Amino acid sequence: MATPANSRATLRNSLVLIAIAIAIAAGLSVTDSLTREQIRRNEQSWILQQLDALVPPSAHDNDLLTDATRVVSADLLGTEDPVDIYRARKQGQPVAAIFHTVAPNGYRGPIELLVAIAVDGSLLGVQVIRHHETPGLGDAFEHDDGRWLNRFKGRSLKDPLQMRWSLRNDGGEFDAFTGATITPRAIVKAVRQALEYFRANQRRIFESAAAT
Amino acid sequence: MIADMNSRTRDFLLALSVCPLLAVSDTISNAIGLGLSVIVTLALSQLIGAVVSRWLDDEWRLASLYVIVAAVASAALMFMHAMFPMLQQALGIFPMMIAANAVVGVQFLASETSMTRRLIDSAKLGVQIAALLLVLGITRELVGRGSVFHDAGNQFGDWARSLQLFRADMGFLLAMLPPGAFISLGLLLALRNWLRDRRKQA
Repeated sequence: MATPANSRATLRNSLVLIAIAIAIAAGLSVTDSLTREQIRRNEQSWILQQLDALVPPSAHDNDLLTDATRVVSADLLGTEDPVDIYRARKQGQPVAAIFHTVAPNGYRGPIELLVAIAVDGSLLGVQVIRHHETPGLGDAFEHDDGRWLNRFKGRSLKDPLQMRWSLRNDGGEFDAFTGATITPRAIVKAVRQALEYFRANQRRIFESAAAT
Repeated sequence: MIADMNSRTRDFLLALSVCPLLAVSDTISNAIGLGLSVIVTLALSQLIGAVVSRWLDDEWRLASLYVIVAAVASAALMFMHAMFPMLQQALGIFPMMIAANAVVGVQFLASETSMTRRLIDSAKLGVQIAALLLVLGITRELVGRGSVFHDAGNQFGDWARSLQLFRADMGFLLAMLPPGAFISLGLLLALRNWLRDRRKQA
């Protein structure tokens, strides 16, 4: 039963709780505005570090992070999500395109990749930047400083031929790694799709306006 | 009897509350990072909780504690994101679990009336949890990777160099996987009980 004293207490407590909630919301938004800029900078410098590892800074003279375009092509790239493409140029001439793409069918979820393709259609390198694969098995591409991923270097849709761009188990050219088939299959497929997309859309990739 | 039950509940709660955090205690640097966040979150929530509880009646305090814990954990996560991005990346979503951990801890200690007592207790609990994570981290990294301070350079800056004791591919994979944390925890508890029983008999 609500006596007057009781409901007064309820009112008082409610007001205190509301005040706490407001104070907390204010505190959190202050924290957010304090950290937001730094978090963005961290992410950018991290991506840039990965990009520099694929396309050496001496090979281009533009800012990769600002010279990026965003495409969506579920049928060609195998993912519904937008894919960022960073473009490397030297004196205005295209040098390479780096796809920030996703292999959607990893063993434990999507695998985020950077796939660097030179203008002649050959691979400059492939880097896994985020994944959830089983430690010790599915993440074997990280072993020996990424030896497995280094095999992509210099490959193109002519080497091996497009139909052989799959794992050895699937009749292709690429070795899986011990204990895992699904992860390397997903990576090989995503790399091949990036190459195919590049071949079909090369001109458009370099000519479209920067969109970030 | 009551004191014994209290300490048992305490053990149980402590074990329960560290469960969500166990999975990422796979390397020492991750364990340290997570342990420090636990200490800070717990102590800070307890401090704020103790201050506001003066203006609230008993049955209202818990509600305020939940909000406070959630807020402190979110803020801690933002700071971690900003200051130790590599650590944040290694820990993934798990720092969020600190909130769950702190709720248990804070709730458990909330019965204490003296404010200094509460602060000391929560600091103690935080240190205990951090120490447990550290022990697990050391064990799992050593057994699983054969190294000490793997990736520490990435997470805390270049002064922290990793020390490889034996080759990583000779490591024991199970120790690295999340279940390895539970198995290690079980072994640690068994060791503790064994030591205690032996002391009792002596």
